[in-house]
Amino acid sequence: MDRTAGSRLGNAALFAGLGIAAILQPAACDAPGGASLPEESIVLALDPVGGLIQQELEQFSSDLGTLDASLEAWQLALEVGDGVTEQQAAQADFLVAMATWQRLEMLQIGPAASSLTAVGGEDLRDEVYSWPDAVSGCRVDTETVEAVWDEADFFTANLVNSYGLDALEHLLFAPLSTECPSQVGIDAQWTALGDAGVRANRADYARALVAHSDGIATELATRWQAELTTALIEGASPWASRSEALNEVYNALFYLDLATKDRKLAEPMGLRDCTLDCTLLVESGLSDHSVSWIAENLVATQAVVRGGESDGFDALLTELGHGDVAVALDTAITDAIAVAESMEDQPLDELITANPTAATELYEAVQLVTDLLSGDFATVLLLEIPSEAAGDND
Amino acid sequence: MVDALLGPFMDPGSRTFWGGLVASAAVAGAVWLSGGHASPGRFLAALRHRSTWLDVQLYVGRRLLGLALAGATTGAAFALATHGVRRIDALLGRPELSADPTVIVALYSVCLFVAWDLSRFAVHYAMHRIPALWAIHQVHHSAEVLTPLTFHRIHPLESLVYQLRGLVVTTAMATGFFWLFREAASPWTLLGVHGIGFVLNVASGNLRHSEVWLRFGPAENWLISPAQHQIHHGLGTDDRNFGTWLALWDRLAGTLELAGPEPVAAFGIAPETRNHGDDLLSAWFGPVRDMLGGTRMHAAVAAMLLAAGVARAEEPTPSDEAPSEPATETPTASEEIAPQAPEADTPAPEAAPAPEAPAPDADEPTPDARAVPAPETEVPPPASATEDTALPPEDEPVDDGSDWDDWDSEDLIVYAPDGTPRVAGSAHQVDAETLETWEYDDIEKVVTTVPGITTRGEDGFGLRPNIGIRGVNSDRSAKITLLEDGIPLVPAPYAAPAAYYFPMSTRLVGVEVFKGPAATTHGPQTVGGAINLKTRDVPEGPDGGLDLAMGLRGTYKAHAWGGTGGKRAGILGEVVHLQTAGFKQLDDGGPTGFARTEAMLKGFVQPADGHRVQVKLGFAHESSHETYLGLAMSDYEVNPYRRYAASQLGDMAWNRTQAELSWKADLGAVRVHTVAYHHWLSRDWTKFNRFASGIDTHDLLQADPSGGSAAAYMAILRGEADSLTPEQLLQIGTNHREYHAFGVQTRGRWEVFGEGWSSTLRFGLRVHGDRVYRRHTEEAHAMTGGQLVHAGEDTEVLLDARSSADALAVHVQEDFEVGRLHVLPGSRVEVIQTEQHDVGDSAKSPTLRAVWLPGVGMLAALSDGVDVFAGIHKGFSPVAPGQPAEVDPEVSWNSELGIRAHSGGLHGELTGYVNDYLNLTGQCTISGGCDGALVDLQFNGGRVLVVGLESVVGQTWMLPNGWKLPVEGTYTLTHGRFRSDFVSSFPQFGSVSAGDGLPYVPTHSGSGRIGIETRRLRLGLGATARSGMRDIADSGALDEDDIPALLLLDAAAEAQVLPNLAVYATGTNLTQSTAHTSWRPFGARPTAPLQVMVGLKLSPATR
Repeated sequence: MDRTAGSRLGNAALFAGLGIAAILQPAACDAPGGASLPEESIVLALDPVGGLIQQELEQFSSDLGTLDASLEAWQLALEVGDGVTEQQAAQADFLVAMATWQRLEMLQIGPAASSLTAVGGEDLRDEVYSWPDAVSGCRVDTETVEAVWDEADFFTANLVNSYGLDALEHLLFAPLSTECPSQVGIDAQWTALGDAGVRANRADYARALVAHSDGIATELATRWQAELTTALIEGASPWASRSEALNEVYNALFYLDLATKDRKLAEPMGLRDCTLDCTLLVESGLSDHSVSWIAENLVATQAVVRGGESDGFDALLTELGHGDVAVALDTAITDAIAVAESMEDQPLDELITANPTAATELYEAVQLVTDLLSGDFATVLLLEIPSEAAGDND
Repeated sequence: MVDALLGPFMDPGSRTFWGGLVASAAVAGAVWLSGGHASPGRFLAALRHRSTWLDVQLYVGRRLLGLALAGATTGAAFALATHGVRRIDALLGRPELSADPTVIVALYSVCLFVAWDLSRFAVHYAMHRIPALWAIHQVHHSAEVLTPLTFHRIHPLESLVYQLRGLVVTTAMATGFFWLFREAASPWTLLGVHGIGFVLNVASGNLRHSEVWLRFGPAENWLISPAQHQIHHGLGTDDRNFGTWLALWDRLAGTLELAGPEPVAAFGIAPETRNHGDDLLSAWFGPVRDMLGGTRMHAAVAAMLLAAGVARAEEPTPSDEAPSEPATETPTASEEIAPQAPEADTPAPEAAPAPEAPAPDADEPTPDARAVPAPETEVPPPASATEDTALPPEDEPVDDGSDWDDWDSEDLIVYAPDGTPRVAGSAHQVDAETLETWEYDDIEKVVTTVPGITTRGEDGFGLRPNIGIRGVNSDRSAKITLLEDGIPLVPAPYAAPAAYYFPMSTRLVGVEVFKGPAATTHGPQTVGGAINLKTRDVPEGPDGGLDLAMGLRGTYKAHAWGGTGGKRAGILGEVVHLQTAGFKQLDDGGPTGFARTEAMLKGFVQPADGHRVQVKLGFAHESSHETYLGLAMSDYEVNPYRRYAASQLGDMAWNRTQAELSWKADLGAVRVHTVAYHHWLSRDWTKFNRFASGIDTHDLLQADPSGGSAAAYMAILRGEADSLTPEQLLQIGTNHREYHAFGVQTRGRWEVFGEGWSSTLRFGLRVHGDRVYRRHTEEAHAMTGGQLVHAGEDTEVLLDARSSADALAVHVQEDFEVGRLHVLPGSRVEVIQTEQHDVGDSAKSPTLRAVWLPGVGMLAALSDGVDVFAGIHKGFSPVAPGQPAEVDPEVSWNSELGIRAHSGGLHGELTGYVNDYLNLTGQCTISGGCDGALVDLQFNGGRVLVVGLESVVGQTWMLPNGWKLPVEGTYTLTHGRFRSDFVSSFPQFGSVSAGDGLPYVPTHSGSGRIGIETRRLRLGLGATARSGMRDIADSGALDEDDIPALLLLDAAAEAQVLPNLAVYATGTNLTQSTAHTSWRPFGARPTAPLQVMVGLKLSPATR
């Protein structure tokens, strides 16, 4: 073969190769799908959730209305005196509202949930209560002296560490001294306000916070009533499917593991790495209702699992032939509630210090529930354990 | 190199010539015996003094610099002389005086001696009077003891000053004499000038820097004695006796002091005025910083640049005392290029006018006579210079029967005579010329010109590149086999294959990429392919080069190499330094750049024909202010180069050593290359790991929240809010890791030729061990007022563990050729035992895995220069130590079909491939976005199908007048899809559904290069482009959480302005694209911005 002919053949081969390779044009690859629960069964678990959330949100708004009235009374009382009685009434109403919110803590689904981890999450829960991430007594004190909560952009210009129920707890329960170290530079303003001024500002500030929280709760309730309840049941937007919706409800229940068990109990008890005074990490350090709030978390968990007469996770489990799992879970929750209620009058930090055995009993009761949630419960329902909890082996 | 280091002691023209030292010792002995101030004990004590140690360092440092720049000044001197004689001819005509050579010798000697001595006095005097010059000259005066070595205690910049002085004086004198006397002033005639300096050196030169108190009595009014020079070195008496030999100049200046009976009590300078310490770097950079009053970086670079220029002056000036060495000892370029230029109407002396006249006062070395111009009629073109002088006859390689280049393991791609790669599968090479042209300092830019390769940018510099081939995950390039000269280069290729070390691309002379069956001979990662990085070989004959460059944002590069080799032995040294101030802006203004230095030494001996033993040693160091923390998109859009305050403690530092001993044996039909290697790397990376709350930083930055507690975390990252709760503390982690990789690897081939057929059996055996120690710690910090403040809590140890891997790998591949057909069956076996245990835990449970990886390839030559090839092989990626039992190795069946053409200036390759993964794995690295608890864990990714098409087409057109127009383009189509549903903690997988696309694998990618070249000029314009990529396995259209498409334009230009000097400029990211290249590890990471580098390359004119 002469060189020219070879070159021609080479060029022809080059084009032939191009043609051959073109045959390899990629095509979509079918793949077997994974196992999933029957859609109609999933509805059993999803059906009561939206209604439960609406109900709790409405209750919460009602509680806030009561609290606002108490705060208004406190404001008026402060004009003529120290308003101690009215403040105590407001504190009591705060605890009622907070108890309701602690149930809603277990129901962070959709817009209330974290935008980082939840489908349709918009961080609205943080607008009402951001513990444990962003609470700061000093920030609240700073805003107390600056007194700009009535400005239109107050709640958008400031981080959540200066508002919400945790800030409200501070306003109602904190001593009259400021938490800020001197370098923050509000000492002079604080002194200038005096006790009366601080009380008056706190009352005003508290009403602003209540109004903001109520606005969020109302927005959530409206959206759940208008669309989300139905969307959740149908697995519609923002959820991609009923399976995803179910998993999101399940992820919300994991608050009991990550927050209730680990953050509210394990950390203050020193069961996690803690080089400081661990009891300072209790949730309700000012109002001393940590244990009762844990009980409310358990109550809401049980409500989700039980659902209504003919639905709920227990009904789903029963339909799938795992009624024993439902019974075991319900029993564990009931037991944990009983343990919590038996010691809810005692501040958690005192309980940990004075009666560590009781604290451990409470922790273990909650842990039994979370173990079931991440064990058979998840296995049977083909649920994805949240990645934050996947490696938890304490 | 040894010669170069010892040259000043072997060169009769040098003051420290051994003969002169012996003579000085004899004189010192006489002084001692006569009861004078001298004693062997004091001399020995002086040698042990720390001051002398700095003398040695400065000497060695300057000699090494001198190696790097050998010949660099020759061209300049040559041109000066040529132009000088021509100009005088043109202005004044040609006198052509005749004179007795003896008279010329005498006249030239005296004139040069006086001119040198006067000029040295003047410069020396200025050194003491001008603060900027004193800043460098005080290095010489800071000597606290004097020995003959103190003569070499000179700052490189001072050498430069004296070199320029010497060049001017000598060129003027030589030019004048050649103009006046032409041929009568032949070089041998000028040899006579050497005599004056030689005599003076032998007499007393070395005692000037000694503690032997030798006086000349009344003669000190005319000649400077050693004692007078010691007075000049005395503490507080350095303002007198500036002269070198003649005292006349000091008398005229009023600075002459005669020596008294008592010796100088103390030498040196006042400590408070000293600008340097007792180590080499301090002595180099301290004075420059002092002189410039600038930053350390400016000083360092200035020193490097100037030191390079000084290199040739490092011959310690015979000048100092003696008129210098004979120029004829080393032929000049002019000699060799036009030794007897008959037409030369200007004289073309064979030797440079070797001048080196008396050197000043000891202070400095003087230029080398070889640097002195030798008038020539024509400046030789680079090519002819290269051909004629690069390989002097005596150094030309001798054919010893071993055609090393043909089968060298460092050259893993075998080429047919027509230039077509003869490899069972797809193979590509980025050659030395391309690397030289583009001068990329980022390896990712180099490899993206090869089809099938994808990268995920991270730091913008390519310090720790993420490279994938044919769809394999690119995290830390852990899924591809990386080799340096055929030896695995990553810190622990089996136990921890993440490529935390990568050689600097600027020192590479070739990059080879193997895919498909071609990768089976290079394990352990054989799914995607292998990349072999070729380092410089020992040159044949003396050779060297220097590359100095600077660019935007305080970017400086210095690259020097030099060596020589012959038939029996050779040696090569290479040093690269690259540093930059970085292109990111930390919120608190802190540093974001890096500095990296790498050095390599190669030496070989060839004890017998067909046997070569080579040693390769390497050292590398990096210090970089790198972080894993990127940006939220709202901030990225404002300033993509911002770095949050939370990244202010980011700091990576590592050191690496490399030792390899190889033996190549050519046994006729069988050739074997065996290498024993040991690589060690120790690194500490301190950086923001996470928030104490455990919030996912990657998700946080991608969500870019404006409300909720997540917004508070964002504010803390930015330094705009303080950490107020324990959850908001920032965990600053330091991952300390120490890697040892060692082993013995043998590769060889056995050729048998028959009638119409041939058989080449390639085989290899590797016995390898990895040892990895990991200690990961975290310390909680609070963000307070925009600064990270230690929270006072104890350091938390996250991991304190050792892991190991021992592997035995065997491969064979037969290349059976019949006519135009090659059949290449091959097989690889890997037996790997891994183990991991916590420190202090004696329980060990090793895991043993063995895998057989068969493959077969076919290659058919359709015609001259056109091959088709096809192949199928089993790919494998091992399981690292300490993985959960359920983790499986990555295994795939890979097949390909391609055609390759090489005809004249045209080359092309088109390959289609299918990689069918039985299990694709991901490995958690923080760089990949994993949190600390998951780091180093591997995850099954199930079945994956990757289908792709790779193409490259290039053509070089030869244009009139020696111009070339090379054009090359590549295109890669990659279509990778998961084939099963699963949920993974590996963040790039997440919740996967069948049909989801692979993360960080673009569907379309390509590159294009066009250039125009002549011998003296090269211009190039290049582009790389890719489509968008997924940040996480997903389907559907890409969105804002994915990675956008990217187009980058680069340009390069290089001009050979002198035979030994090229200047170049490169520009990268000319369109100033700000598209982000990754969301990993945490947040959006930018493409490096526009960078412009300008530099010069010096090489012997003979190359």
